[in-house]
Amino acid sequence: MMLEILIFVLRTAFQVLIYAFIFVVIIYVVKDLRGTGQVVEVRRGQKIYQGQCYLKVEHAPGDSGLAGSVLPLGAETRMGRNPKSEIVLSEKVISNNHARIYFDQGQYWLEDLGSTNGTFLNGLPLSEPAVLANGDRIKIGDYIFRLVRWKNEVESDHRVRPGAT
Amino acid sequence: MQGRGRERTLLFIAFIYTLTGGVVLYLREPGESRMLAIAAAVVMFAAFMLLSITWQIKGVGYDQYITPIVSFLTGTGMVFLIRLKPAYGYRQLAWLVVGIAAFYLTTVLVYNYRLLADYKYVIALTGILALLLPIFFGIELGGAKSWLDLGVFNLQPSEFVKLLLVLFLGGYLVENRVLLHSGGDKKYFLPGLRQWGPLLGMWLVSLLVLVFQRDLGTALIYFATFLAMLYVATSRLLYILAGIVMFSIGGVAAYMAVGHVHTRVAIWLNPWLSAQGAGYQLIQSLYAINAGGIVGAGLDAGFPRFIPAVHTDFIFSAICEETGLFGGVGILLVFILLVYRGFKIALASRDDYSEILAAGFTALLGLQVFIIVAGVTKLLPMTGITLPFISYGGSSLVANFILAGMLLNISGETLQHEK
Repeated sequence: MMLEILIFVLRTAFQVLIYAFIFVVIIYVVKDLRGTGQVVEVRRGQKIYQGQCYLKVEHAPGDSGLAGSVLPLGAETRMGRNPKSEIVLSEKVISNNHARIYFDQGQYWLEDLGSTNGTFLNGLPLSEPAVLANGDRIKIGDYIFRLVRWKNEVESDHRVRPGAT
Repeated sequence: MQGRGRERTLLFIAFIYTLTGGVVLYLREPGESRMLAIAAAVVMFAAFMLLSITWQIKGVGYDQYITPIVSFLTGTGMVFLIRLKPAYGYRQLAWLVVGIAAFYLTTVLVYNYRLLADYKYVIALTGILALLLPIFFGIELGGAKSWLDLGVFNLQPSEFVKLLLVLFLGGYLVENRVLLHSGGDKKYFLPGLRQWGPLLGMWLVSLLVLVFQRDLGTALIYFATFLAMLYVATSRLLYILAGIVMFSIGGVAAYMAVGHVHTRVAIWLNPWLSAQGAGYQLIQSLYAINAGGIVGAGLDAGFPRFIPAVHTDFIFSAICEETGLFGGVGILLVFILLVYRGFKIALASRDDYSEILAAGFTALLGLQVFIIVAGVTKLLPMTGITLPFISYGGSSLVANFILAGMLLNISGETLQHEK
């Protein structure tokens, strides 16, 4: 008799555990989903949206090995010959600290750091920081980058914005 | 370093679940063979916990849900197999150990899976050879001639060819994505023969499997996986529609020409016409599911052994009889969660090859579950394939463990980049 009660309890437990397992998985998965797209703290105390933007290298000098690669953007991405830059571009016409892309007020900005040969946004030389949009082409020396927002590789209209004059 | 606490919590719940099942079986009928479910629970728990800790130390960002879900499903399979056919318990336990080893080796050896894209034609050739072997040297089991007799055990190459198929298609589709996608925004763009070639090729391979091996389920899975991957790569409905039309033509032709297919469809349309003959299996399956009701008869309290082949193709009916609608839906939900994780990995991956590969493996798994569950519940004609991780069958279990390992590889790559 005792045995039968025990078996009954265990049988019920067996079935309940199926749903216990599912329940815990769903709790975790929902927590994961809440985490996606939320503002996260990154270095330098600035807040950016996780995994939103990256630079696609459209053209690079043959020996750089960068062509076709994809470079994620952080709170600040410095570009230049300086080996401390996030993106090191070793070409003679590029200045040590050439340009930077930074995140401010919910948008990515491109700023020329007083380079000798200039930074070009959609073919026009950059004079003051400009907001970047999906599909923008950034030319530094012989390098050409394209800004891609998430995986949404839509061609944008190459309008002229303040700063690119 | 990333914590893997969730994985271990879930592994623990899966362990308690399998253990409970095993204890019920043992208390009902104490005996050595009934101990095997408990043994399986312990083996899996120990092995997967060890893997989880190894991964945490190595700092790899593998998906934390795949391993527990696989452990849960395999545990369900072991409990029900030992309840239904204790004689097969030892074999399946041995296969489980081989499967876990294959799972681990996949994550170690195929870590650099992108290299596989360069060998796609070698992979395709291997796959076709492996498919052809049983036609000449194979033995026939359960109406399908797809087994190779290797003395100690029988091997079913078509289970592994599924994986090769996904690997080949992944490489092929990435290379030809632009061509297949050409035509811009035109909705009814028809590409040339070069683009249609693989579609025709796959159709032919599926039909060959169907006609020569008389393996209806495998043919259906090959073709459906192919269509799913093509859709992921091109997002063009036209290919899918064309594929469905072609498969229907092939299916009708097979219905006319191949007696085996004809019988299966006839059973599906009305099993009662041959209730004591060909339709017996399906009718017993429906009776079993019905007998289970909402909450089921209880583990080891039903009579599912009336169904022929209950430990392989019809194991889902036995689960439904003993755990009821409640348990049957639960198992399907676990499969849905597995498929969800698979597509999540595909979405989060950083390059086309990984994306198509992850989506392909996931589609393969999901379609397999759908086709067999639809078969035993008489939604579709019954096609003899295994329920992944649950049915008895060594080739299938090992192949599915390799599949899970590949999903982990792809997810590890993704998460490491995000760090």
